[in-house]
Amino acid sequence: MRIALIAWLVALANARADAGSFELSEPAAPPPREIVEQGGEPVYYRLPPQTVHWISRSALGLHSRMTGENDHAFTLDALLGRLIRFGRPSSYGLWIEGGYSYVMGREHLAVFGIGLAQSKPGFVSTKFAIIPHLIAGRIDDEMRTGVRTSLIIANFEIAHQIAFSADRPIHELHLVMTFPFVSGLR
Amino acid sequence: MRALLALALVGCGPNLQTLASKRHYREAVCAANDGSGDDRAFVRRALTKDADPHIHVEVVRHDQLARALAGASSGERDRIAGRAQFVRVQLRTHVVPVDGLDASVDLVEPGGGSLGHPATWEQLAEVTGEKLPPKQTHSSYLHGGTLLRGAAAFFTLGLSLPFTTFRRRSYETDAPDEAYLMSAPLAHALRDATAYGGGCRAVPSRSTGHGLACTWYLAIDPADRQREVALSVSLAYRSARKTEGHCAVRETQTIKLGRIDALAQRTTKTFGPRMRALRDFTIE
Repeated sequence: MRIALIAWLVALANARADAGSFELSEPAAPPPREIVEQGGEPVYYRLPPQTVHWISRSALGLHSRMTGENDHAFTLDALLGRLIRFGRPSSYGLWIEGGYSYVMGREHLAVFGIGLAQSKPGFVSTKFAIIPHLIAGRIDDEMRTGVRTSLIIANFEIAHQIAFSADRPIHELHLVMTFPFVSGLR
Repeated sequence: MRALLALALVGCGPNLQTLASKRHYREAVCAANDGSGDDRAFVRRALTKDADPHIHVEVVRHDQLARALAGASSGERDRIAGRAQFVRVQLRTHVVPVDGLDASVDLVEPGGGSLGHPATWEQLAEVTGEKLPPKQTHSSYLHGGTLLRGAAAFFTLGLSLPFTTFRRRSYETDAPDEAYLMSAPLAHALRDATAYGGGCRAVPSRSTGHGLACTWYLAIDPADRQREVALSVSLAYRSARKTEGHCAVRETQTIKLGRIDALAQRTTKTFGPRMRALRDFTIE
């Protein structure tokens, strides 16, 4: 039985040596050519098609009243918005944000701003932004409106804020660490 | 006004005609991927013209099948020939400047249903009526769990070891080639003859482009003699985005091959000893 199995396997192996192919002939084919690009390779459509991004920005730091007195307070901002880049390759775009700004003990403000920014998607990837904001809310227990003009360079924001009232405008300085986030692929 | 504003906001890239005429296909593929149906059709046409895919279809004759199954009896050969007709499909393209090129073929009904079966072990064993060897089970300490436990021991200076048990994890592998030869010698011979199911290799090139040279073997049931069959050829041209992901433009073309019982004559008449350009079949 065992010898028969070995003999069968040997016969099969010999047959296999002859086999292993249908022996079909190779058809004639044109020689392969290489198609090459002409000139420098542009990069536009391979960049992410998304040019409109969600953004969020928080900030904390110091808010000072420009009265000549030592009048500083802790401040905190929480903002959401959109970045609309000027085309796929551009890192520049319109920065639109709105949210809440708090100054300890004296201000609760709604903030809305539109400005110009240089930014890419990701955490802390905003290089530069200049954003004028409209503000409205309670300052020293009175409803007031005004303007806050922010200059953001990397993680630092410096802003001048003017709030209007019946008697005289209040000038303040907003100096904070800021943490912007822009959604989308880098 | 709104369109102008949108254009000003998003900017605009190079047009597709320029990209295609200068063979900037990586860009064109992504432009088409994100664009309209017309954009995709335009880029598909331009790429297919330059890649110029050539195709050849040949049915394996009874005597050729018999040669591959030299170890089988004539009864076994007839039985196998009655269960499957093997068809070799070959495809060649030029090298085009894209980041990837994939191709696949299938034998389909005019309605689109698949009739061709790739020459896998399972398919071949079904054709020959043989039993495939079972998969082999192995076990090893080389797995992620061991790595994590090792890392825990390292970072706790060995303190985690009294509470850690290193375990083997089992995994399955295909049986060795000899087991297939013992258990399913006819399927093994067919597997050899069909070049292990076939596939594609890259056409050698000096550039970073891609071209393909492919050979596939498909098995078709010859019993349904009156059934019409067609060859479906699909090509996918790929381009890598500069960030994550990729873009693709796909082209699928169908070549009518007539009835199954006349497949050998029809393919010999249509293709003969030469590969034919896929564009020749556009109207068929």
